[in-house]
Amino acid sequence: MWARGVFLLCAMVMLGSARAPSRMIVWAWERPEDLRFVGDAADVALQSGFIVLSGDGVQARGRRFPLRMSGRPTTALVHVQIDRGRPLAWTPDQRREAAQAVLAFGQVAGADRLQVDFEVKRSERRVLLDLLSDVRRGLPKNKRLSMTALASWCETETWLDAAPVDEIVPMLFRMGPDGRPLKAKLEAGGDFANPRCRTALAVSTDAPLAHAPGDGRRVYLFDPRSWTKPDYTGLRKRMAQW
Amino acid sequence: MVRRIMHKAVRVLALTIFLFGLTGRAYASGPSYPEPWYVDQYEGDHADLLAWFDGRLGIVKRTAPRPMRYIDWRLLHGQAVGEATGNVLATPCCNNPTLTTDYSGGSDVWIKARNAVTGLNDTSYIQTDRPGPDDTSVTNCFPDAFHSAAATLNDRAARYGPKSAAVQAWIAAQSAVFQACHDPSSELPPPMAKMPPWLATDRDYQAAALALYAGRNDEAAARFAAIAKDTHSPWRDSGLYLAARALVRQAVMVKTPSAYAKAHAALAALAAAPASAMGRDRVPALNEVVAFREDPRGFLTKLTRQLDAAAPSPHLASVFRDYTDLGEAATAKPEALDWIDTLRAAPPALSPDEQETKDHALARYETSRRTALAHATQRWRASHDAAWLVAALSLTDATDEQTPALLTAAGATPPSAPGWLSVQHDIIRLTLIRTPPAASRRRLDAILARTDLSVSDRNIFAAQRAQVAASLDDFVRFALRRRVCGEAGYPNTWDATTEACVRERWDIDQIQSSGIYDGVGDKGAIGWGEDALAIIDRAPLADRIALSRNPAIPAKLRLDLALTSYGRAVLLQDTAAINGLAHDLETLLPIMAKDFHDIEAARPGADKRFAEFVVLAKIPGIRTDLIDYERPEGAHVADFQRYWTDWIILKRPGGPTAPPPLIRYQADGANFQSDFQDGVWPDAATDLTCLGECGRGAAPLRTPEVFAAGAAKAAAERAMFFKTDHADDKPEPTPPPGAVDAWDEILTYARAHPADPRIPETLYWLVHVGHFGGSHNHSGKRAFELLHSRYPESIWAKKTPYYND
Repeated sequence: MWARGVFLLCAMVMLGSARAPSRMIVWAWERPEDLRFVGDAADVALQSGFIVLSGDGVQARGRRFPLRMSGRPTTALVHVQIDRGRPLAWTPDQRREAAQAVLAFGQVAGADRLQVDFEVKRSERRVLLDLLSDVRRGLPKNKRLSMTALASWCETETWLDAAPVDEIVPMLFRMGPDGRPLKAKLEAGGDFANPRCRTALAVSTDAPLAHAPGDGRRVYLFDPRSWTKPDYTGLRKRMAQW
Repeated sequence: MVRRIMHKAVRVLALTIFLFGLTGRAYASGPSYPEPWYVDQYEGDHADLLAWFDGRLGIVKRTAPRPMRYIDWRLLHGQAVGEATGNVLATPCCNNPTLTTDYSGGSDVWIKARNAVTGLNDTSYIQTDRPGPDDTSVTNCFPDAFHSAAATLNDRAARYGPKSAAVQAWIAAQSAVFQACHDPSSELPPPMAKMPPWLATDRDYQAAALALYAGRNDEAAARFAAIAKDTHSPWRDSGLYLAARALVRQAVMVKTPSAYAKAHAALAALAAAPASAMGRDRVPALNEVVAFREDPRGFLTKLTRQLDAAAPSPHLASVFRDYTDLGEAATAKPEALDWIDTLRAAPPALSPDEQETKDHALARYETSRRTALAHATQRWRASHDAAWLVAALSLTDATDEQTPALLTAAGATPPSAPGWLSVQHDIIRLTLIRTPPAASRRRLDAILARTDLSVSDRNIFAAQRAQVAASLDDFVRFALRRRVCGEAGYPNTWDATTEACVRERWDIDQIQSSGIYDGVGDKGAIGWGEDALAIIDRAPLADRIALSRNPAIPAKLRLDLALTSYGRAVLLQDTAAINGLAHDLETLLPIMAKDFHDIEAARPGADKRFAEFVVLAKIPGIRTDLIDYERPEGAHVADFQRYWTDWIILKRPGGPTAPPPLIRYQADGANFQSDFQDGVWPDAATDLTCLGECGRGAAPLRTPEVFAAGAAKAAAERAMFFKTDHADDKPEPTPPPGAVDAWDEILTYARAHPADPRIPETLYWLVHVGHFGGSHNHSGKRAFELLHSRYPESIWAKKTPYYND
C-alpha cells in the first residue's frame, strides 16, 4: 500500500518537474484601465458587456469605462448576473435574448475568445448551462468559449462537466472560508479535482498564493482596483516563485 | 422612434458627461474585501439612516462616498436634508450600472409588435449601444424609442392594413433606424414608389432619427427642424425639441463656439415655440447640459448656489454629482468638495509606471495626512467654521503641533452643536493615553448613556471605553459589539424594499469569515471589536482563561478564547491550564468531548502529551492568537476548516516576543493599501477603534490596566511560542535545539503503542495535516506509511488511499 504512495509521489515529481511557461492574461474589469505598461508581456481580457437577468427581462449594456492598451484584447468578457430583487422567470424569450446579448457584446475587435462570467447559486446552475449552450451555438467556429468558475465548483461539483466550453477558469481569490483547504492543497502541490479545471486559473493581486499549478495553463490576473505597474509586477514576481 | 423620456432633467447632464478619470467602483467577479462590521461608514441600518437624514449627526466618517459626506456638510451648517434628499444622496447617482435602470422592456416590445404585424419570427438581437472611445460603449437608443415605434406601428397597421406594402415599407425603414443604434453605416432602404403621404411624413421622421442615432447631429437637427415646419407631419410638435437635442449633442461632442451657438439658438427657438410644442419644459435642463461644457466656471457657481440653499431639492444628487465633476477640474475647489476631500486625505495615486519602496509608501501616506491637516487648520482659523474644526480634529495626531489649539476649540464646542459627537470622539482619541482612566470612563459613560447614538457610533465609543476598563467584567461589557448591518449575503442581495443597509447600494460584496460573531459561519449579531481582539491577544494566559469562563460572553466567543488559550497552554506545557481548558472545552465543543476528556484522564507524561497533540491534529484552525485563528464549525470533525500549522514545543524561551502588529487587526477597515502592511505600519499609527473610517488621525491602542499588569507575563509566555508560518518570500524558520515537534511526538508514541485504539485515526489525521499545510519533516508521508503498514485493514487506512506531503 505504501508503495502506491511512493509511486504517486514519483509521478507527481515527474509531472511537476517540467513546467511549461504559462500565458498571462490581465483582466480589464469595469473601471478605467491603462494597461500600456503591460506591452506584449501579457494578453488582455476586456469586460465588454454587462447583463442583468431581471424577472423575465434582460438588461444589457456595454462597457462604460475606458481601456488604454497597446494592441487589442484577445478575450471579450461578458459579465452576467441575476437581479436578486425579482424572481427569475427564465422564459424562452429571455433565454434567447440573454444569449444574443452575450454574443453581441462579445464581439470585440481582435478577440478570439469570449468569456462568460456568471456566478450562480446551486438552484440556478441550469440557467448558466442553458446560457452557455446557446452562446456556444451562436459563436463562430473560430472563436473559443471560456467561463469563469468559483474554485469550489472545480473541487466537489460534477455539474460543470456539462458546460459546453473550451476553458474553465477557477478563481483563486475571494473564496471565503471554504476556500482555505483548497488553497492549502494547491500550495502543497495539489491540483483541482475536476480535470476540466486544469487548463486555466485566476489569481488576484491581493490574495497571495505560495504555489499554484502551472504547466503552461493560462493564468488570468485580477486586480480589485485599476491596475498599476507595481501591482502587476508584484503579482508576476510572486508567481515566478511558484 | 427617437422620443425618450428624461426622468430627471439634470440626469441628461450627468449621462452625457464622461470623464476619463472617473473612478467607479470595481466590479469584481465574486465578493470583495470583508468590510468592517461594527463600524459603518454608510451610516447603518434604516432607523439610523432616517435619524441621520433628520439631523442627527454622529461621528463623521471620512471614507463614505462623497454624496453621503455632503449630507454631513449640510447638517454641520444647519441645512436640512430629510428622507427624500437623504435617500437620493445615499444612492449612487446618475450612471451607476448597478442600479436597476429604465433600460428594460425596450427592444423586445418593438420586436414583438413587428413580428405580430409581419407574421415573421425574427428575434434578431437589436444592440442599443454605439461604440465610444477607448473600447467603451455608449447607450444610444432607449426604451422609449422602441415603445414609441411599437405604438406607431400598431397604429399604422390598424389604419392601413398590416400586410399593406406601405406598412411593410415602414417596418423596413424603422428596422434600419434601429440598426443605426449600433451601426452608423445603416441606411434607410430605397423609398417605395408612389409613397402615400402618411408614409412620406413618417419616412422624413425616420430619416431624421437615423441621422441622430448614426451621430450625424447637424443633419438630424436640420431634418427635425424641417419637420417642425411641415404642417402635414404628425411629428411636427416634437421637431423643435429633437432638433435642439441633436444640436446639444453636437455641441457636447465638438465643444466649439459655433456648435454652442447653434445649440443656444435651437433652445431659444424651442423656448419661444407654442405651448403645444413638445419639450419646452426641458429647455432649462438642456441649457445646463450646454453650460456644463461651455461655461464650467459659471455653471459651477450656479450649482454651488443650489447646493447652498437651505431647503433640499429632490435633484440634489445629480446637482451634487455635476458639482463634483466640475469642482474637481476647477482651479479652486468649491468649499464643500474641498472639505470632503480634505477629510478623506487620500494619498496621491502613483502613476501606473511608478514603483514604490516601503519608506516611500509610508512617507507618501503621512505627507498626505499632514498636508490635509495644515489645510483644514488654516480653513478653520480663517472661517471659524465648525465643519473645518471637525475635519482638522479627525486628521490630527496627539503629537502634532496643531493639536493643543484644536483641543481647546473642541472643548468649547457646546453639546447642542451638530458636530459635538464627532468632536468628542476625537477629544477622547487624542487624550485617551494620557488622561486618567477614571476621567475617561466618566466622559464615555455619559456619552454612552445617550439614547440617540447610532449602532455604529455606540460601538466606536464602546471601543474607547473598553480601553479604559476598570476590571475584566467591565472590559467584557464594552469589548463585545453589536453588528451594524445584519447578516451579509453573498451574492449581493440588495433589494430596494428589504435592504438592511445602504452600503449594499454602493456595490459592496461582503464576505465575513466565521469566528467573528456569536453565530455559526457569518451569522450572529455580537462579536469582539478589533481593539478587543488585539488586547486579548496581548493578554497573559491566566487572563484569557478567566475571560473564556465569563458567562457574559456568548458561548461561541468563549470557545474561541478557550481554544486559542489551549494552544498557548500546550506550547507552555502548563498542565493545570491544559486540564482546566480541556474540561471547559468538553462543553464548548461537544463534538470533541471525548478527545478533551482523554486529556484530563491521561497519565502525566507521554500519554498526556499524546492526547493534547491529537486535539491539535484534529482542529486545523487552532492558533495562539485570535487574529490567526479559525473557529471549528460543522456537524463533523472533517468539516473543520483551515490549513494546519506546525506545532513546535520549546524547552526554553526562543520564539518571537512581539505580538502580531496592530495593522493586521485593521485589515477590514480603511488602511494603508499596499503590499507593505505587516511589520511596516507602526502600531502607534493604527486605529483599531474606528478602523480608520473616522479620520486619518491615529488612535493608538490603550491597554486597560487590568491587562497591562500582565504585559511582562504575556511577553514571557510569547517567547515560548514558535511559529512556522512565514511569508512566501522567506524561508521556513528553523526550531531551536531541543524543540519538539508535536507530529513527531505523535509518531513516536504511535510506534511505541501499537495497540492503542486511537492510533489508526490519529495517523489518518496526521496524513490530513500533511496534505493541508502543517507537515513537519514529511510527517504526513511517515504517518501514511505507518498507517498502511500496521493497520491496513482499518477503516482509517481505507479512507487514506494516498498522501500528499
